[in-house]
Amino acid sequence: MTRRREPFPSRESASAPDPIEAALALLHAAVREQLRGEQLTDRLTRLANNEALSEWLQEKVESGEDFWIAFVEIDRFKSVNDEFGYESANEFLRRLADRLSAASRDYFAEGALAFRAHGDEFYLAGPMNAASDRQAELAAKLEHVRMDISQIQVTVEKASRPMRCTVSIGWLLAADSRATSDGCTQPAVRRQLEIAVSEAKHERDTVVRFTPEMHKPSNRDARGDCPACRAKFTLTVPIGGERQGTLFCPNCGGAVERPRSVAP
Amino acid sequence: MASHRADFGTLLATGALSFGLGMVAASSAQAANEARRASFREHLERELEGSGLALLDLTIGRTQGNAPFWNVTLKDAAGQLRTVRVELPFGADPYGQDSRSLLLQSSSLAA
Repeated sequence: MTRRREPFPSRESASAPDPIEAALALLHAAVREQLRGEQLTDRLTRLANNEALSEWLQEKVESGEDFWIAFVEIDRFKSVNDEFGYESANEFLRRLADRLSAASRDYFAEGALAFRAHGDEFYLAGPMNAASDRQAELAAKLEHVRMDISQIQVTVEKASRPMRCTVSIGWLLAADSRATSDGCTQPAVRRQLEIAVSEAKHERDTVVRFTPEMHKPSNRDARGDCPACRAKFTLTVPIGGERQGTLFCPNCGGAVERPRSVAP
Repeated sequence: MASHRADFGTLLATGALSFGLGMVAASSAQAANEARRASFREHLERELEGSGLALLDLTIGRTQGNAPFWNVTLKDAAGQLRTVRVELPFGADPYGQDSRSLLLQSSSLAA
């Protein structure tokens, strides 16, 4: 692994006896942290971004701490964007971010955060460290968030009506994620939230909690015939595993095309 | 001149201290976490290479009982990919020496 050269002197130099050098070293360290902060911040909304979300999830999984997380996705955002234009859509995204940020402070216990991962995909997440964040309360609070967002209106010049949107929310508890066969990993949590939000999107403008019964395994058995040795084989492949590289025949080791028949 | 320089330095140092220390302290834990993860992966990668295995992916997870596990995706010398799930004892440090030994042992057995 190659390491990038640090653009500023290391923090160790802060112990140098010259006060100016010490001060400069500290300033450099602060600037470095500021830059890191910018890397973790979404430019449009100033919420924490996808990288920050990954970092947050990683820390929660590593520590084994209980947490909840909600995936908030705008319903039919593309068509609204097309109708009102991107400037109004951006204004809507900023207001939605403000609501989520306020909700993370006002509705949930300390430590809750709002994130904007991509486009119209937002997250709310927090530790399960307070009596006020029990399951039933969480569901009710997320309902409030959904309703708050449905009240946002952006007035658009020359438009016959203000821009409004609804959101679908899928959410889960770490304990439910752990209870699946995939366990609670960062990619698994994201997949599970997508399952919950796609359930919510069936009806739109709803909140759906992920349960282990909704889980779909990430691997499945794939059967095929090797073109070289003609052996029939079964391989366990990741779903969507076309990105995982070449498959090889377990009999002769020859490269095989992705098997056509897939057992669910 | 020298005393002016020292005064300015003290002033600058005081200002920088209040601004800098807060930010540095806030993210030092995160930096330490990142360094720990990178170091663990680097060591594991090197040791697996010695057994002819390339480490493609390393993902940490938690089981139903909240015990930590690693999902390790490896590529062997023949180019075969395999993913091994290595469960660690409850309460184990996923980045500890015991965890690494268990990962190496399980990965070699799977290959």
